[in-house]
Amino acid sequence: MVSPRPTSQNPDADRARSDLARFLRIVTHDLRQPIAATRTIASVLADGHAGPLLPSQADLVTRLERRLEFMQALVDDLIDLATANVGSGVDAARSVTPLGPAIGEACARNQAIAHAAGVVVQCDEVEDTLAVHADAADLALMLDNLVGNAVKYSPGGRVRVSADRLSDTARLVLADTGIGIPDEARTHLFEEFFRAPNAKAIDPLGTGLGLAIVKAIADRCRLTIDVESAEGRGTTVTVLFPLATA
Amino acid sequence: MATILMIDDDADLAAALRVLLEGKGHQFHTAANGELGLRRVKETGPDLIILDVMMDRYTEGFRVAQRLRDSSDDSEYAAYREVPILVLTAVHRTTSFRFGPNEDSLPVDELLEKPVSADRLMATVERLLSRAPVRP
Repeated sequence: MVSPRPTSQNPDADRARSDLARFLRIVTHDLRQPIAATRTIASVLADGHAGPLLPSQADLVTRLERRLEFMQALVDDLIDLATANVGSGVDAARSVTPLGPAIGEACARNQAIAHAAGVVVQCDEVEDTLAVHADAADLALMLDNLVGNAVKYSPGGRVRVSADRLSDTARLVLADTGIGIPDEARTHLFEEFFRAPNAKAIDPLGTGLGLAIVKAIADRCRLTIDVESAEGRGTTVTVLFPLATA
Repeated sequence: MATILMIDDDADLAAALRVLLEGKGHQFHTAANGELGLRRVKETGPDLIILDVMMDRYTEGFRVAQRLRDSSDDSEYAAYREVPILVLTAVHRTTSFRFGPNEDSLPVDELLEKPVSADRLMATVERLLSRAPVRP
């Protein structure tokens, strides 16, 4: 079982959020936008709209597209990590977010990728009144990363997402039949840019920021995360949220 | 074939779309900011407008969309109110603004987040052109 260590809260959150907003504008316009434009240009070439390509040219354009895709994913994850660290300013304790719809939406957003990878995603029915004290945007970002990770590392397998009430908490459980986490990788799991060797083998161009984003949200919102895993057999992630009344 | 106006400050992206859209026989015009874009709307009478959001100012594209869809009869853009607008933006992830045909969101017809593949862009353009108003 691995749990991320909580980190201290930022003492000047408003200032941090203001700096973050400025940072996001710069990153989005000056970094994300040029990468996106370059990907469209590469796509015009790859799809033959500027004329047919020789096989060697097509190969190079494919490599270009793959590297650009990684750069885009890295920028997007850095934006998400910055957002996860600082938050939107919404007080989680005053936010009430129903858990069932949030889970359903995250599963739906990952469905196309799951289908392409031959992964069956099962979202169990969640009690209508089960709600948590968490900002909806934080919850969506956390679920996207957890479900996305489970799908990515369970090719041809199954991912099951469920939630229930456990005393004064709401318990979210994501269980997959994927590649699992090697023992030696467990202590590094929530570190930024860390990638376990078996994860790299499946997805060489992952950013290693997904679980760091999850940890940042968990720290800021004081959530508890546990990870149980067996290499080659799968992983179960459990998140405990403060229970709210929907 | 249609007349398409792209309002976007990214000249490289515009060059790619020129190859793509002129290759399909469309007339393609560009404007690098919102003010120039509004002028080019009147000059070119487009059948479709492809609109960026972040240009000289953070939400410049929003203002262009609002000016074009101004519902007052004496609006100088009244003749272009029904021209489909396709927003092509990288800003979607960092703003709470919503885009779409609903009354609570910005008045545009479609939104594609950059990057967009050539094939997806073409399919969206053709779909929007198929419901563009017929011009005299």
